[in-house]
Amino acid sequence: MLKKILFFLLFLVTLYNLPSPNSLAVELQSPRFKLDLDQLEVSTDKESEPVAYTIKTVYGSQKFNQFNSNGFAISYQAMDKPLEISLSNSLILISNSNRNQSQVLEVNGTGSVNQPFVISLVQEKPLENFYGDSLTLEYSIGKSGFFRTLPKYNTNISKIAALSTENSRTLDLNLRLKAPPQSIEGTYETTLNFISSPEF
Amino acid sequence: MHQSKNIIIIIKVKLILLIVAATAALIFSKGVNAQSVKTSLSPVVTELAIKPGRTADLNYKLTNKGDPAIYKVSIQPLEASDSNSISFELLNPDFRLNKSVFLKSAASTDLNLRVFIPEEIPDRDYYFTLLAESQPSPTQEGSANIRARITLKSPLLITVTHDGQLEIKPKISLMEVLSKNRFDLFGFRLNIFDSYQPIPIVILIDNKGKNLIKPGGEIITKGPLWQINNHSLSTQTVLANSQSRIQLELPGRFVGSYHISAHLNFGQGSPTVYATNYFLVIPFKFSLFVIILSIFIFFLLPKLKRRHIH
Repeated sequence: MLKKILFFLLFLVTLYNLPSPNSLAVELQSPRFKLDLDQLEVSTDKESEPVAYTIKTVYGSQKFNQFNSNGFAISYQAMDKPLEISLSNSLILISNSNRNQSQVLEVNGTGSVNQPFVISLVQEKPLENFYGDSLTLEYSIGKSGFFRTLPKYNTNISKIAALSTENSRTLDLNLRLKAPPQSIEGTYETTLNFISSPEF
Repeated sequence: MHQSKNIIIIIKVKLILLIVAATAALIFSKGVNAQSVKTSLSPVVTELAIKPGRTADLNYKLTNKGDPAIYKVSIQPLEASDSNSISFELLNPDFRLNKSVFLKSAASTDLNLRVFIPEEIPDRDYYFTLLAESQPSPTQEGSANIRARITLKSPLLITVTHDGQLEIKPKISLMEVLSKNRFDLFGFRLNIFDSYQPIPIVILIDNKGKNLIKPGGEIITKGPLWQINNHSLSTQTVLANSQSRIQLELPGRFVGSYHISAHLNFGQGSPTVYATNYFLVIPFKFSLFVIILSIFIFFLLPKLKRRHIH
């Protein structure tokens, strides 16, 4: 009896698995005819022809009327939810007493849920003194412990946080000197730029 | 004599109070921090559709929520070739483009940006960014100074058109199911997932026209026993001559072959473009469980029974 039940269950599972649907690109149907066309048109391989769109298509009738009457139409996105960025500290000092420790900078970004945005980081100039002697800065995010060299001189901007699915995020950015020197003599200086912008 | 004694006692008491106060200040004082920076800028994105030869005034709001700081506002083109195409001017009496301005703590300023469109300018999109950047703190002598600044970018997307006509060439260049278990069989790619494993999907949308597009639509999943599920795609902006990536995860299924199709439109009355793909869900873990259960029922259980009888 048990075996019969088990075989019946296996039979049911097999029945459930078998009837996978026909994968049709388009199914055209009318009360009298049904046309099944396999791969009628798949736009991955074919570029669509240019179509005459208007302001009305993209921005709606109201903006189109504004455009016709004023000569322009303005559309603001997320006016009530501004893009916001904050840093816990605008100046981090590394002296002889703390040169082996990493310094923490708290970065917070807030934006609109509807518009994905990113926070990027770039080192505008190397950490160097008046004579051109430079020190290498490294950074890690959170508690990862994985330190990377900072992106430098506006040639390479590093995205440190993508806030596409949430509208607020706080990051701990750890900064340290790579192979710290025996002593820091003189004044070294660099500027880190935290850039917050919507992502397209 | 008595008076001078009193004075000495008062001085001593004052000194003791001063020492107590200084000690308390040393013990309970927090570490001294440099300035904190907190700035907001709205709107996040501005879109302007305008006829040639016209001007338009745009409104922005810059707020300093941190310590007092110096800011600079500027306009940068996305493409270097557009740098002289359109001109801008801030109408604020106290704020000028590319000039540093001091903002007090918790102060905000409304920026009125005037946009001048020349008469002889080709119909197409021009993209700029309004930048608000803070000035970094001054350097301190005798140490390594890491100075931080913040830059907020608010894109300004300008569509110049004489008559409101736009040129849009949308295309779905890729619709891929990202599966770790992928096989090519007779020229057909099989994307295999375990039961209830989320299905990651990537869609690349190309815009080869002269104007930005705002695709929106849905993903339709068809499965066994005529299962149909719709998943709406939120509208996002794709700039002219660029590509945008939509990445999403569909909920996992139990078993069967599934056909997915993305249907995208680009506004009221626009034709729909679509792309399709397939994936297969096999209940690996569930099957393993059934096999182990079957072995137990068909082989081990009868043996145990027989032993019990004997």
